[in-house]
Amino acid sequence: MGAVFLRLIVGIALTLIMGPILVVLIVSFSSGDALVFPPPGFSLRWFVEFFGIAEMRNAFMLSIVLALTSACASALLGLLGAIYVSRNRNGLSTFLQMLIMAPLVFPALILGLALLLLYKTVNMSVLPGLFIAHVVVCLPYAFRAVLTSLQSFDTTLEEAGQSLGAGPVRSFMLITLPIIWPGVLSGWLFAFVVSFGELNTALFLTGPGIVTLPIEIFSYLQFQGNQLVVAAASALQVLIILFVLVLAERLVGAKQLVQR
Amino acid sequence: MNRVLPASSLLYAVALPPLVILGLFFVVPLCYLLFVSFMTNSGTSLFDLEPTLINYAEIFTDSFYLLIIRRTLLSTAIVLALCLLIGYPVAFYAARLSARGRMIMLMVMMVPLMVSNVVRAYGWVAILGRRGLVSSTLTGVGLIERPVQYLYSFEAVTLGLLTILLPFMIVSLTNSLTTIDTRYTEAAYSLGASPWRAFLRVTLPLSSPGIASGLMLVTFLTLSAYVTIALLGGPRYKLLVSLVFDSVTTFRWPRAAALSFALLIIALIIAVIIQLVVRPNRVQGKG
Amino acid sequence: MKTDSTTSVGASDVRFVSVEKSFETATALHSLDLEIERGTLFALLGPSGCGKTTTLRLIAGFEQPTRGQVYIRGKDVTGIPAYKRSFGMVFQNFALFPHLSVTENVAFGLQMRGIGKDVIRQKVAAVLDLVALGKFADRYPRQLSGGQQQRVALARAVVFEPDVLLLDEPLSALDKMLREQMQVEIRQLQHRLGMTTVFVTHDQEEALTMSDRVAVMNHGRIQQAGTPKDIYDRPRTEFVATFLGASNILEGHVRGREGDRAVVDVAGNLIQVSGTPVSKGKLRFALRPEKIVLDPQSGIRAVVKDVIYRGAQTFLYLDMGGIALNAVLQNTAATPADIETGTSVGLSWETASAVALEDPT
Repeated sequence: MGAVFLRLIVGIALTLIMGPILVVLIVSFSSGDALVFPPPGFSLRWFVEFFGIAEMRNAFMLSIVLALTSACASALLGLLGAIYVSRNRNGLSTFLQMLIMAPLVFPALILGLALLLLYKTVNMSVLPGLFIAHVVVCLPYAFRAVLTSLQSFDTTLEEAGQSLGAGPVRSFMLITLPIIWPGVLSGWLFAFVVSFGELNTALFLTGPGIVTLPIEIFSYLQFQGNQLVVAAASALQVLIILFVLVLAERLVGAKQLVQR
Repeated sequence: MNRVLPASSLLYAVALPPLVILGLFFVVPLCYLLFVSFMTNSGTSLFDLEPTLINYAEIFTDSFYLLIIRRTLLSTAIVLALCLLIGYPVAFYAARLSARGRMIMLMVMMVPLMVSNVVRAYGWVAILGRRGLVSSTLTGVGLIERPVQYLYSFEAVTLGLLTILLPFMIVSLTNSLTTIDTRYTEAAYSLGASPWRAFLRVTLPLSSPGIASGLMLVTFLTLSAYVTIALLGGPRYKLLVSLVFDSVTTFRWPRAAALSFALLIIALIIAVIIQLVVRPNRVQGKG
Repeated sequence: MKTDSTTSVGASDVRFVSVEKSFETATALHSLDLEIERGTLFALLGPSGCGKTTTLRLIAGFEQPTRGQVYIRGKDVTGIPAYKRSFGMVFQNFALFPHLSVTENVAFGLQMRGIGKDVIRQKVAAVLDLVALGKFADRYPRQLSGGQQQRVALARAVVFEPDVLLLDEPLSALDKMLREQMQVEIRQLQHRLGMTTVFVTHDQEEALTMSDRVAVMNHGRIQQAGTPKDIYDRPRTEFVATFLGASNILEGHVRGREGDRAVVDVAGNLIQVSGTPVSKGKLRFALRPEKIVLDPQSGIRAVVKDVIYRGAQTFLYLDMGGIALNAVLQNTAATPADIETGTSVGLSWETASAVALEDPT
């Protein structure tokens, strides 16, 4: 009895969580003009249409570029922070860890507003401002992944390197980095995915001609654009994330991704 | 044994870049926001340099704001309760799967976590909207005569928030439940506890850190989930975070700043309540 | 400054001059003086927390002394970081680089010294032959057995001909059989290379078997240093006497002197104790159980409380006038076959076996 009840709840939860995403995926391949279920047939017409709309195309490209660059910056900053935190037990390391992890739970919209006020005051241009916001938001994910792998790294290996004549920097580059790189890579991938879907912080920080894909989808929805183009845009979002996750699973293994 | 590596100056240099970036683009803007929240709204510039408490006073006295705050608290409470009620059994189920099964389950939870909230909210728009799946299917079958709008209501927003935030809760609870040693439950059985009592007296309290962290995460995300609320609540069903956005679009920066901090204060109060009720400290070994 | 100090200090390869090391919470070493001669296999022996590992890490430069100087080959290396010193080290868990092959692991130290590729290839091949691992050159550490990993770690540590070789509990990761085999192998290798070697162990048997000289450490101090035989036969403190093998610790009043020996009264038995200038007062001394033999003619008598037969040996638990005493008899043909519990036996031993202890009573 209890087991059946448990499975029922699991089924309901999975349906509620996955349902909307699956609906978007299925509908985006529809050949019909409107949302009908089941779709009348299979076609890629809405994807073609998506890339035919200049704003959508530009938003898509901007999101990709922004995700690539901010993931690199987050992974680098996360690596630096994780090195310090994993090697020190002092006030600064505790503070640094809290500071880096803070944007993870901090209301994103408020961070966006605060950044917007700052940018307006110092006359920051749109693109670098958006980039920095993405880095701040992605940093906790990259940091956490790198920190996990650095904490399980056996530091006697670095001592071994030093006993063989390699200085601290060389030991790190030749020994530590090659061993912890799955952690760094999964941190990069997390950051990429988070940046690619970033929404609430970027809401205030986009500008004319500089709009990310999630924001473009949002404004399209608000102004009642063609819903199936939005479905295609959303499906692209999902597909790229799936692609990155599969890639990550191949490169670093599922365990590395799930552990936190 | 002390294993701190030498070259400590090099180590400080390593901490510097993240400290500077977060100092400049996280700490400074928030302090600035706090400062702005005590300034006077201006028609021409960002704000007038005249200190005032009016922004906060209005939020906590104006009946419209109070209505929105009450509504926000109610929605948050319901989302929290539902997340816990549905999330706990799912996590309980996941924790007792094999390591491989649990990993698959967590992977399945990760995908929606990574998909942008706008896409997931759009999924519900596509299902519940006037031209959405439910409406058009029902019209097609002939059950209803003309398209029906299921959006822009309390129920739609709650459903959307619940489904978007449930994975966070499940992941947090699963991680916590997995680390509980099964011998504790076995010890409870050996002392004559029924499975249900063993759960209530042993497993549930031991999972309190997971419950607390899951609830806090959901609280913060619920309070700030603007896009979900905007798409599913529309112009009719607004929460506190919507008012922050509206103040920005009407260029009342100090008002937006004050609303932000009101939101943060509410979040902190809820967090404290969660800590007091769930009491994760009794398991975590501090306090 | 490279002066002739190398020759002036002569044969000492590692030297500590009143080295002190304190950590935030505790003092790990109290004013340690230590001299290790060139070419010796030197063991630092002691229980965990005695300071032996700290001593090794001070030689390596992973720790810096709070006070005092460390010399390697006559050169003051105090303050010089590990990677600028000349030592090879075998770590407790071997610390082989998991992402590098055997060859790459062994070549690492040579590469850091900027040695040419051809020379590296030759040296690596030679050292792998030396440790009989030529066939495994392209394997990765995880594909090797514990003993093979141990040999790779050794090869990696000696290939660049460091001034000193350091071994940190090198055998603790191996099972007993392998451990005994590797003890012999390491000793042979050390003799062939003639490399000054310092190794840390908590296993007294290992220290006695492998080393030329042993320093027994406790509470951050060297209790006694010398050859294994020296330390075993003439322990100076109770700690040394009991940490290295078993020992009876006895105590009595000095009744007089006989030549260079004191005559001590232990529960009515007069026992000669060597190695002490004392002629009055109380004296403590150590007596190894296996030095005791049964001697019906002896005036020293004890009652047998228990007899335990252990194949090659028989353990006797004796009561000598109210004082507990243990004896271990070799089960040779000459030993009386049956010793009954409750009977009185006569005991004797070489007079040099009763050794006075220095620590305060």
